[in-house]
Amino acid sequence: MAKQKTLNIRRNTYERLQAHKQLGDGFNSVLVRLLDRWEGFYDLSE
Amino acid sequence: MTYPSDYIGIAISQETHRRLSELKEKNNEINFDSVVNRLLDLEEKYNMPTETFEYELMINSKKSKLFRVTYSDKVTIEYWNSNKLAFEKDIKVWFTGYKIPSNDLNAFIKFIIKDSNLGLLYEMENELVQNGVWIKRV
Repeated sequence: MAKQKTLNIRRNTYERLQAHKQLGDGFNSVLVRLLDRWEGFYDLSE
Repeated sequence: MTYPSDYIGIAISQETHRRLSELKEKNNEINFDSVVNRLLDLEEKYNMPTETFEYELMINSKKSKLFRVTYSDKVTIEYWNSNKLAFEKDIKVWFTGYKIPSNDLNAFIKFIIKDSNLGLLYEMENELVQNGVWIKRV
């Protein structure tokens, strides 16, 4: 992964992200998957 | 900027940072942590998988049991000491692992798994815990 940035998140958020990792995933892959799925629906009402 | 000690830094790509920044700005979020939590909330609410996971239970560094739970099942750990409930925790099935440290030679755990309808799937008790308990997804 070229040109990295550091994202600072709370420990609880880190653990939530960790739980969504699939085999071979890094955190960036998890976030990309979440963004691909949900960035167009971010303001979806509950 | 200095972050409080309960923050952890993770490496992401510039492109991912750009996309998160865009969501943060567009939705007036106070920080990136809020953005990530919102994405996780959406994923967990609307994309709940139906597959089954296998977990192994390791007590005192010995593998004890392999069991299966579905995503929506409720897993509760009860940690008993001298016939008193000392610790109880619900863990989400999608956690990849959970450890209870124990230095108390008299402690034992009661480990209960219940499905989403609170039907009992698995129960184990009276196992002495000297070296901790691991619940690990395999």
